[in-house]
Amino acid sequence: MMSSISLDLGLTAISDITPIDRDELKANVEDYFLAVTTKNMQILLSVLLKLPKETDDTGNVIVTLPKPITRLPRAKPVPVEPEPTRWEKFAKQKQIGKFAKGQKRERLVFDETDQQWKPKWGRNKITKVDPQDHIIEHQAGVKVKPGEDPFEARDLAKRESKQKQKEREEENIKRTMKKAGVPNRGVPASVALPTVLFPSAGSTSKYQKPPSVEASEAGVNKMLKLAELSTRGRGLVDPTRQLTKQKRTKPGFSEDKGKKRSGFDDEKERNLRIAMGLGFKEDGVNDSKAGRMAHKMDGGLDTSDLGSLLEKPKKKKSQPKHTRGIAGMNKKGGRRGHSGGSKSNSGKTMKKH
Amino acid sequence: MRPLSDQETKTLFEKLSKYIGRNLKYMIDREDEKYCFRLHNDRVYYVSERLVKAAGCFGRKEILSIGQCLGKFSKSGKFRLQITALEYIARYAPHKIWIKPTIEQSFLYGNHVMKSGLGRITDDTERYEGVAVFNMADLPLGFGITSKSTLECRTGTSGDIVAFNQADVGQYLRDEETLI
Repeated sequence: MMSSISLDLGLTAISDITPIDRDELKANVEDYFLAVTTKNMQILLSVLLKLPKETDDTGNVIVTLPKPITRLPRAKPVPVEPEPTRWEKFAKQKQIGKFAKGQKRERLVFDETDQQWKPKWGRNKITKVDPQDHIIEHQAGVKVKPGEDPFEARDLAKRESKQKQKEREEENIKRTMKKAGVPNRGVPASVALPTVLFPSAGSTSKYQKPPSVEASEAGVNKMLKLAELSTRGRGLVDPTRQLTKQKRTKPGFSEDKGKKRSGFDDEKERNLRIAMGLGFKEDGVNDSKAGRMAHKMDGGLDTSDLGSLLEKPKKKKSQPKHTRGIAGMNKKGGRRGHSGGSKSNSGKTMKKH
Repeated sequence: MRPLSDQETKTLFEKLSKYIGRNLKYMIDREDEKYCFRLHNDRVYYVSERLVKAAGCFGRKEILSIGQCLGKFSKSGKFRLQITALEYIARYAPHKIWIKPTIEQSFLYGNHVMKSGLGRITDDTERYEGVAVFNMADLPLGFGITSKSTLECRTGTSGDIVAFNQADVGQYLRDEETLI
């Protein structure tokens, strides 16, 4: 039994690979595991306490753990060899500075003012002081703009060159990230992702590289299709959730496809047909009107012939003239008399024919 | 510019018939000249056929407006009548309202018609009926929807709204940019 237990003191881990007793497990799951775990914990603790101990100032017991035995898989992918920058490529080719063969960067430089050896960079580095800082010599051939402050111009040039340098560095980082296959999501390269999300190309991983987002319609459509797939069943189980197949609900001309449409007369007929198809209010009996008319009649209402009562005698009335100008202006007379109430027949209606 | 589909025509006629009722057929079938409805950039135009034929020479972007604009279709397919349709509404509307000079200006500013400003109203106007609004000199001012029937108008306090302002001639100044 003891051979199936292995300890990794470096990670304070104990692994027990004894096969599970099914019968005991079925009897009571909780109790079984509790018993197994307590036993293993006791073993681990007893072995840990046998290690060399020290006592802290505050009375804590400190045990020095040995190195871990188990080799854990990489948490992060293999770091990508950064591609040499444009300058590096150039310098290598031209053998400039540190890229020159046999050249070694010396850390210490002799400082004349202090008469000491000082490091070139880092702590206590030598400070470069320009003795001509307060004077800018006029250079023959260089044109000076009137009113330009040469000191300001120098500062501005320095700031600009720093800015340019930053941009170049960002480009370098971007290039490396592109090489590593990190998706370019619009995050500036200087705010680089701490981990590379997907393994770099060439690895035998089953994960796919995500497509780089293009700020174009094609790019957006690509991402839309991806989003459609990202449902359970990879887009197949819920076919109704197809995002790209949504249509505009406005009824349009295409509905009439196949229907014969020819000429203006045809259109007039069609319009008339549609107009007649609508139900008009005047089709029904106007109760208030009927009531009023009944009142008007002397001797009350003769109900024997209601039909003739409700229909007014057909008047041969011509259509309103289609004259130019605003309707109403062409009528004779100016202001019509103010009739106090709302009873008026000046609103002549077109009765049903 | 294209003729309207069946569904669009139906929507348009339903709206128009609210104001002009059966007289709609006088718009469709005219004695003097043939007129038709055309759709251009979501707006409905009432144009004579002669003009439509002439407009066929121009591209879609080159035409701004043609004939009489009756209104426009919204993106969801609903039709809205505009003040530019007033000529035909005023001509063919069976139900009308005449308003007094006191309230005329208020109406032209976009307010509704109060009972106190109501001069005359056609007999047998029902509630929520489409009406054409005139001033006492028979000048069409706009159109609206009644909130009371003729009988109800007689009763009721003078502060009550009698008709809702749907469109008035003052919109030519207020909504200048959106009317074409």
